[in-house]
Amino acid sequence: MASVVLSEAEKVYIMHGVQEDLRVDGRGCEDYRCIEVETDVVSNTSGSARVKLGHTDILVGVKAEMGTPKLDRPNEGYLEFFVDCSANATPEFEGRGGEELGTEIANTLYRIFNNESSIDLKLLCINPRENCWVLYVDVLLLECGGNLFDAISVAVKAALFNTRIPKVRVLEEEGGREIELSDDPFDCIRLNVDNVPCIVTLSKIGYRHIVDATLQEEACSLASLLISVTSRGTLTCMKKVGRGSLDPESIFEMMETGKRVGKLLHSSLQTVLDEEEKLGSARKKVGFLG
Amino acid sequence: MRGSRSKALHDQALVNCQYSMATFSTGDRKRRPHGDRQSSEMTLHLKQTFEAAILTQLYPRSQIDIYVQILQADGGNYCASVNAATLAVIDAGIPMRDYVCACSAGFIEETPLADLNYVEEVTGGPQLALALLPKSDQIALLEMNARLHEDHLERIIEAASKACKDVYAVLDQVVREHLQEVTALLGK
Amino acid sequence: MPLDHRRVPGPEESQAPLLFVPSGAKESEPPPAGAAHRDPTALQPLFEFRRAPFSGRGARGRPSDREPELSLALQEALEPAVRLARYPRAQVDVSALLLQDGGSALAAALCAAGLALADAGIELYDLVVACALCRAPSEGEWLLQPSEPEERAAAARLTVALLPSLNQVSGLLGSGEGGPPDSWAQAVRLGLDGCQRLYPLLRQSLLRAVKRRTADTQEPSEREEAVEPPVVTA
Repeated sequence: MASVVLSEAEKVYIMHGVQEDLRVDGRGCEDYRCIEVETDVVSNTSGSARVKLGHTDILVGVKAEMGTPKLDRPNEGYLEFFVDCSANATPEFEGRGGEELGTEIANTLYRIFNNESSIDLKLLCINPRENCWVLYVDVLLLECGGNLFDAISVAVKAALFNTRIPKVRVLEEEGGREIELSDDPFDCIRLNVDNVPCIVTLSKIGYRHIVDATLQEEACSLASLLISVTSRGTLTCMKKVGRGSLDPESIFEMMETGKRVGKLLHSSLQTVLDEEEKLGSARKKVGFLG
Repeated sequence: MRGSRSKALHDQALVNCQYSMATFSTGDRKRRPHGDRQSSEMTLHLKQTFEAAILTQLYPRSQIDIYVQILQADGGNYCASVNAATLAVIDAGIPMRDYVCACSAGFIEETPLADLNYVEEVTGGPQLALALLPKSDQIALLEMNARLHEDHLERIIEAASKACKDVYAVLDQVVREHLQEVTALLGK
Repeated sequence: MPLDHRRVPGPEESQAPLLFVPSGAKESEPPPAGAAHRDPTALQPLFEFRRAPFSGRGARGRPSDREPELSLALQEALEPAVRLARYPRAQVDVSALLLQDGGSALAAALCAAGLALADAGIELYDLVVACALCRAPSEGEWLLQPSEPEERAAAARLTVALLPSLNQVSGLLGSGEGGPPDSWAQAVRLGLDGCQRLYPLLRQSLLRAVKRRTADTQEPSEREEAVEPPVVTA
């Protein structure tokens, strides 16, 4: 994993700052860095988003492709996650070096979407047992600056919000069914992302916990709690990451903080997405070069 | 040097490239971002191109990594990669013989076309990729596939090299502007 | 690392280091300062969780589906318990193989791996005890150590790992629809309680094993010198 090496003195400096609720970049313990979100950046996709969180830079593309429903869920579509760690982020990711981190993140994404309410999968069904939409959610990690999980979950939510799946009709004919694509390119299904969770990672530093740790702060933290919160404050996943252990009491505190911060994160993300949506085609695109 | 030291060259720098395409960059979803035949070939081409342009003998026993990531593909991937990588190498302050400018060209209905887009690429027909060191008019890489009558070859190369020189003008301007901006900032 | 699914991995032969055993009961270690040190010269543990292709119900499924995630969970839950710094330049392989999934597989693997580490005589800060929970879809009661059918039908699943005498949570992995916001906190409390209840049981079994072995080895006493920690390979 992309990480930095800090000396003991630097760690102590960061730890003392956290103790006083004043972090190295001037934030408090429950503050996020400024998040930049832009949707609809890759035209080859059904939906895409780019998120910058400090130095962390994420590009997510969602592609809708026709597939067959899974055997145990015949009238639902499904989501497939793939995380690619670009060598541009750090040379360690060259070749197959990024695969381990990629699978870890993809598995976490599967886990946070592993419930009925996150996304209405029935909407993705075209023809029970035969055809459904498969949403390939591909995450591209362009730069690591700490707090990958949160940034990726925000980007995934923004990309799903931006996703437009073409409407299709099923024509019953003798000799089988035929699927007809709608002629109007603007005739499409939008996904309801109200219940899509976002991840809040709380890192334990000293006796306190912080949200949105930078790489330096991640190096000081022995264990963090990763929780995924929906906009209503319900949890869909919790996971301890890191090599240390946590005190039970601090876990409960962290869960409370996570819910509080998560709700705020959701509401501000939704406002930004709605604003961007309102601008419509008049919006000036920043794209990758911005 | 990263990784195994055995790869280090005692008299020059090793140019290490990786060409990777985002899985969503193309019309059809790609199954893997790199490591497939096409990406490996492209990696090799990039490596050859930049070995020709970078003054590798100045850095013996070192390694220069060039990572190219395609975010969105609309034809001319190789050429865009080379042009972007040239700028990156210049930005890194690595001495080069000259800019490397690349452009693709095709030949449709008796007309040479420079810089093919995706639709023009998939229609078939001859395709040529040219990487040029524009000042000395030296070719760093020239590749052509499909069938083409010998008589037309010169016209296509002509079209491609003209486009390369146009690219050179743009790149040079950008580099100079950027440099002026940076030095002005430093001056304050 | 490409996985080889034909072979059952694991140490070819494992013995307890009898050198440590006869000196009576172990003294409790001082609590870790935060947790294990990240010393490059420390023990390099290698954790692996695999499920046999026939372990689950239904179709044979792709074996590698969830394995990386569970291996990581195993690693993250066990590492805080091991005194890594005591074994410089060494590697220990912990491989758990799930033969039949009767529910609560990860929790069972964690308990087993913790016991195995202790049995191998590797210095630990504490034993690792783990507990699984799941929440039935409608009524919303959390069930402790669910069986396989319960787990399959559940809306949410959670595994908690505890270092009981230090009272530190070393592993936490769960997902699903937890219902009301407080319900997850309840689940964690219930899980921790379950772990505390499980702890004496594991201790007893460990003690029993040690006693039995010391009784066995009392007669051929000359063997003692030849034995070295076999799982720890330099």
